[in-house]
Amino acid sequence: MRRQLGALLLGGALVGSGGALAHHSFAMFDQEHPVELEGTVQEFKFTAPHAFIILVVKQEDGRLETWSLEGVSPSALVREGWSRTTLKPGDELKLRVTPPRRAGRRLGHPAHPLQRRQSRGARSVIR
Amino acid sequence: MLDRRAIQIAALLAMLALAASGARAHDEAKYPDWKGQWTRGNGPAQWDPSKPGGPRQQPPLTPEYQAIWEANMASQASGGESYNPQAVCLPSGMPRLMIAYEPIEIIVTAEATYVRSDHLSEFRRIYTDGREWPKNVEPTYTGYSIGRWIDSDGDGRYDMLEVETRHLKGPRTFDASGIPFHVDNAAVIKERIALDKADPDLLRDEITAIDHALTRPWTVTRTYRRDRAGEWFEHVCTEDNHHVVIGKESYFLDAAGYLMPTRKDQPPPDLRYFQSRK
Repeated sequence: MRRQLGALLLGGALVGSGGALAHHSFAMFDQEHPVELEGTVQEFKFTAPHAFIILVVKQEDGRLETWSLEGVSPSALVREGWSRTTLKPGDELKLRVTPPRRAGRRLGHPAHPLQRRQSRGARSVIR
Repeated sequence: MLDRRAIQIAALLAMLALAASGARAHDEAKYPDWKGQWTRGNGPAQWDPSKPGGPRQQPPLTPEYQAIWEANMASQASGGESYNPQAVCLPSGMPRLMIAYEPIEIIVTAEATYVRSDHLSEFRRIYTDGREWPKNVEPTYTGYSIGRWIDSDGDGRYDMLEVETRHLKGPRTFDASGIPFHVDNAAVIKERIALDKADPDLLRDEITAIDHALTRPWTVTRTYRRDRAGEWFEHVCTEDNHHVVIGKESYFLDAAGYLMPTRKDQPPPDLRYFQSRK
């Protein structure tokens, strides 16, 4: 799983180095100020033009906030060994994302996945 | 009598079939092997791969189009992408298609060479049947391409495809930074495509753009690396595109389908045809 999450990291790394790698620019995401998120996967959308992780994040005050995390294209992920079942609803993720540069929160691009553990069975922890 | 005539006809057909297959085999031997999956070979997706993206691309734009490009980059920096047709899934068209955002496939036949890309499901046709330019051509994003095979080293096999593309349709940009083409869409794109002499898995496309937004022809060389066993994938951009352009503003749809701003203090779209809640 570390290798597969590494592919998602690749998306963030390429964004940081060059900008335009997909059908649109990633300049809207602030590469200089990533934020760390820890939450539960609500949905993994393996769809074009970009895969999405819908992540429910618990705030310090207990409120739940839903984030849309835009990744690279499914075709690029397939070449890195991903599939539509790589992430499942209920999976717990801890990752670093780049939020929108000047708009509100709750939208981001995965930058550095730090930790993932499966909620059912809790077999693996990656740091 | 009938049987003998039938046998003669069958023999004649067999001879014709043999002759035809022999000719086809002969023709195929003249064309280079460009089969496989070609992946962008020189890094990020700026138009001139020999220079960093953004302002350091230094395209030879006229002052008018330099100003348009700078406005596009400023828009991009603030989160806007209304200048970028791809953001709303319009095709890259030529020559941006040859950036190869996703791997490309090149299908060589005697009559035409086809270039297809998973990215945005794009497809271009390069006629190599010796035709002249048609008088009336409806412009398209990939344009109308006529190619000519070259045997540059005289070994009896073609090794280079020279291509000219005209009759292009807009809007198109060179790359995601918004380097513009002239709005008259009179661009002519010339290409010289060939394998590296020492490395048969390295393909080069020398691309020259001639356009009224440019002060001189602009030539770049893009490279592609071959994977003979690469898997192909479907990429339907409109399947779940969250980027929305309304007027000159770019917005984003969140997971629940609500419209989000992409920059600080961005105004909402004009909702005059919707009843507001009092």
